[in-house]
Amino acid sequence: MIYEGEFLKDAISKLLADGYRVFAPSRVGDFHVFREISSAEEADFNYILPRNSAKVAVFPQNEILIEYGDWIERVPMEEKRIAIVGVRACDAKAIKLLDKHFLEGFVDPYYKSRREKLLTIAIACNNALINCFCQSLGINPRKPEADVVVSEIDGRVFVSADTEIGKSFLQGFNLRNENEEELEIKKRFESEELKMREIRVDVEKLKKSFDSPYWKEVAINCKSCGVCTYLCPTCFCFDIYDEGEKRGVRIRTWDSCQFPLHTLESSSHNPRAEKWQRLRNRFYDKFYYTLRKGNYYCVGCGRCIDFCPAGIDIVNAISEVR
Amino acid sequence: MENPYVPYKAQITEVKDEVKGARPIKTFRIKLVDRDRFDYKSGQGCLVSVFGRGESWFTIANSPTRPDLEFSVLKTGKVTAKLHEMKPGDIVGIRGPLGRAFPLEDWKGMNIVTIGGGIGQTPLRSIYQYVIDKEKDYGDLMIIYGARTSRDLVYKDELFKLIEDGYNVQLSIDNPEKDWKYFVGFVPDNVKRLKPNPKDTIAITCGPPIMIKITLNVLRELGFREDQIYTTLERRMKCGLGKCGKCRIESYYVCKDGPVFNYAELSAMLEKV
Repeated sequence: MIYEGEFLKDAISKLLADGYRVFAPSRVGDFHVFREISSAEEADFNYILPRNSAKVAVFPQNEILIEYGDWIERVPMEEKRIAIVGVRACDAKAIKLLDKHFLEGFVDPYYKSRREKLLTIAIACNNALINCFCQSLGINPRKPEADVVVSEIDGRVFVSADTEIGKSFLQGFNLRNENEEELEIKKRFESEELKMREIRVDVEKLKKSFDSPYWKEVAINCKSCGVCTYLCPTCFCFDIYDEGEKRGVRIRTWDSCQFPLHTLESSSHNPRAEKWQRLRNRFYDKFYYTLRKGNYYCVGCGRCIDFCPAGIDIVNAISEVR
Repeated sequence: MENPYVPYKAQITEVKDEVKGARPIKTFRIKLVDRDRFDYKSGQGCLVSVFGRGESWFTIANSPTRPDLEFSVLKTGKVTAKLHEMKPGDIVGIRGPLGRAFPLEDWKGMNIVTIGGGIGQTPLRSIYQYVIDKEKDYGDLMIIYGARTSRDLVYKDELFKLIEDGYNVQLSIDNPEKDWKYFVGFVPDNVKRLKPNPKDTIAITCGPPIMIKITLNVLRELGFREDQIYTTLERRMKCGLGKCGKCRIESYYVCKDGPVFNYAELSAMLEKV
């Protein structure tokens, strides 16, 4: 359907009025970040990809699991509905992958409390960044998997909803049906590939190359800073720690498999003491270990390449494995 | 919905000094408050919670055929230091039972050999207690256990009592000591000397990584197949639910898919343990 006006901004105003917590790209200095906003003006859609991923809305960087005194006093759970506005196809796909992790097997109640009340409004990509490679992982950047999808094509705003929650949200908007020509325009838009990088994943070769000296070469400049994991939309590792001796909070916070402390045991044994082992772990996790869950856990957003201080490039590292 | 991150309230009912000195070990007997003990199986663990310090994973040290829950704790960090200060009556949190257990049901009719080193005896104690309590379901039981010195042996009283009662318990210490009547040398050397027969036998080993590694070689020389050898893995753990990623080896979460593995499973992994 077609919307006359700035759909994303109008959607934010409606969501805020409906009592949602809204996460949207917001301009900070020279770049955009996904963060919680309290008015439509705070959002800025002149972006391709925010620096952080949309996972902050469902899996915040820090959260309280338990408040305690002598014993447990409160177990906080998200009560409000949450909306992510302006999510791209890569980050939208990543949320589906996080769902598998947090909702299969033991159900993570904190994640679930946000996820079951989540509305995602995606925006189709008109352009790619230099390190985007989602298409080679089977993601169509022009057809994101979300509750509501917005595509801006030649000055027209196309809005569609595939899920019940998306459809019911759109009922509050004045939308008109597309005409024949517009339907054709949209169809062509969705089928046109964007020009972007490609990753070649050869799982058999990865399996054979696990003990290859190649990984030491790839990791030679790695700083173990963990920026790749913090910006990654599918990385889900976390730490839990207590703050406050007599009275305080048990907190969950993002952690990174790139940090030696992530795996250091109290006996002082560390199964991944070397940085190349940790980097290799991340790459195999994305393209081999997680296959047990049925997917690669990489969505081709390219953030880990853009912001790696050592220039480590996952596309090259995986494509050229030997 | 029950929140798996929220511990049950539990009370320490008994504290026993196992090992004193610079690396002390205490065994805690713990009873759940407000509810009965949950069902568990040998090899499973719990996250023991001390609010203000955090949570640590311990394998349950007693058999489900015995009362309450027991945990043997080596003092190494923040949580364990606090636990070592605790007295009967003090409150802790318990999350569990967690993880995959030893398949003791499948081992019915088999001979059982446990091979332990140091604090690694904990999961093996749960097994031998179970096998002793269900004696007619199993074949011969052999308990092989060693530590650096006689002072570092855990469950000493229980083991000496078992020897008195005629059980096949084979103890060792690394270096000679006055009045030591048993084997002197490393645990794998004791296994080599005792030559457990692999026929219809399951061997379970737990201890320091180097001990496990050499023991595995010895067992294979004696004719044990990889699927006859079990161990429990040690990894840093936080959530215990297969979510936080710390204990992961490939696609396995040691807290959920382990800690019990047999060697056929371990040797199929790319990342060698």
